[in-house]
Amino acid sequence: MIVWNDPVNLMSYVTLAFQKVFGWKREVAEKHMLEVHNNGRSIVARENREKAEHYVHQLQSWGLTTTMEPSD
Amino acid sequence: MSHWIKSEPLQDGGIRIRFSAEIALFWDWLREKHSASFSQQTCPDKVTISDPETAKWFEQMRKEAHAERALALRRMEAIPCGNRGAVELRLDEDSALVFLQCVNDIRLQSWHLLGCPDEPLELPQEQVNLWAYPEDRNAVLLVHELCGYIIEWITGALLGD
Repeated sequence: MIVWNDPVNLMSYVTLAFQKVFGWKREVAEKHMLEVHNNGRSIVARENREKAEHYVHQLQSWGLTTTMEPSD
Repeated sequence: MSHWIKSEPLQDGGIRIRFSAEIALFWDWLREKHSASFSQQTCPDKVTISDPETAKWFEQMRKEAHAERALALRRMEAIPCGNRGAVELRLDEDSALVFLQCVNDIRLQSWHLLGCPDEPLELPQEQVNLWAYPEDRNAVLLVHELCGYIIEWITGALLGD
């Protein structure tokens, strides 16, 4: 599951979204937020399809651009 | 502009938000737009303002703005702010998160209306010219700016900054 960079969502907002959706600690959420910001994307989870769809839905409700792709 | 908003975390995980009356009007609009999303118990239906002068101004704005909120936002800029007092709300964490997502959604919408620029505050002139009424663009820009301001303060409080 991949979260993509966008030019509009604020960094603090993305950090909070990661914390609330995944239950991550602040440091982990910030690490992924910075990955999105600096690299254009971050792989935020590897899950089975059902769970991944749930997370994608959650992240999209926060306004984040999120996609799924099959892992190798 | 003298819009301001301050928020701080509460011990129960919620937040306390204080904001200027100008932002209270904006809050009123959000409530109207997203009324189904808010919990009636935890999130007051309407803001109340204790200062009589502020309350009078606010009610007038509310009436005038009923049909066209963007017009009211535009008018806000023209009105000397003076001392209109403040509004205080206490939101539990769930309500604060819903509010935050609503504000972010409106910020995204305003960004699309502005043509998805890299820097909304520094729109190139040719893009500004696309607006038949430049003051409408200014109203949308104000909404965008206010939303960013609100998001920064609320996320700050929820993250414990």
